[in-house]
Amino acid sequence: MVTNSDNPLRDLGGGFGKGLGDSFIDSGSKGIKYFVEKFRSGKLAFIQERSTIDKAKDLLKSNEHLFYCTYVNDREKQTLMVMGLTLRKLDQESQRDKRDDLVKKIKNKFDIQGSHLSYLVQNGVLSKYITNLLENIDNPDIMKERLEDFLNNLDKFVYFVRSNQDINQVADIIKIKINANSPKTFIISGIGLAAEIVSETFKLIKNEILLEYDFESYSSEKSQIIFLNKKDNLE
Amino acid sequence: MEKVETISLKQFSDGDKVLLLNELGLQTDGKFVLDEKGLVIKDKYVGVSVSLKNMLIFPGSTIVLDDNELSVTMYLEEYGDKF
Repeated sequence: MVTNSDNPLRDLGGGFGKGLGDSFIDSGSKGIKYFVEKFRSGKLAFIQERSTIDKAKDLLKSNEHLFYCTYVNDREKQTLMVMGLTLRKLDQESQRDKRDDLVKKIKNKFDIQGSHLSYLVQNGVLSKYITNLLENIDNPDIMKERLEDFLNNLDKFVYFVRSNQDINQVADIIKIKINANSPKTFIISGIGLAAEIVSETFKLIKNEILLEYDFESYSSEKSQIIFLNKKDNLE
Repeated sequence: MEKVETISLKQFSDGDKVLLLNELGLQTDGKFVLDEKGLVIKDKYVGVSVSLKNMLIFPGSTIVLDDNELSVTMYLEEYGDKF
């Protein structure tokens, strides 16, 4: 049994203690009616694992989430950002099944665009992007405008490389996207096997791209993220 | 705000879960949770059918949800942190 307190048996009916797997009725507890009464008065919730609630509470109050909320007012985006933090946490805890299940639910609820936003938070790209803006833009209104544009048009500013893509194909797509939109910042991101494709692609297009863009590269064990910042990136 | 206590349904036998649902005016077909009309209850946030094995029942007009981080987070965002 999981409760808020250290002594759940004391809190939720003293009779419930004979055996955790036993029926409440068999164990001589106050029975289901006791719990229903408590539930109806708004004092009890029936859950599976307390850790799910605690994790959600912690992430909603986390500094990173509160930081995002100072720049992003949209409720749906805020939820997606918490989901990104949750995915990161599940990754850190090696809870792959839960992580994959959550990714599916995010996609079903918010489509691929929403899923991309969670992914950006999960992999630390959004925090790097905001830092990048903070370093380059002094005017808070312009910064907020740029961030909103970024979050509303991720496809314009980010390319998520997939592990089954060909390097030449990725290079062409990135060049087309950059030439079409001339974004002030463009991000190339890949995880797992796609990380290597990001690195190889960048080697291929580097000379051409760096005429107009500076770059910053972030590598980890399983991801490769390249930020391209236009040389006239100031306001 | 008074804190809401929690109890894990993992400790409930299937028979107890059925009794609990019935007391709340709900039912089950053995796999999914059904409303008073016998229709499968969908999680209001993620739209999946709520199973007996994975259900959460939160206060606030008896809110039956699937146990996942998205639903729990959206519940906390909508109703506030009562836990």
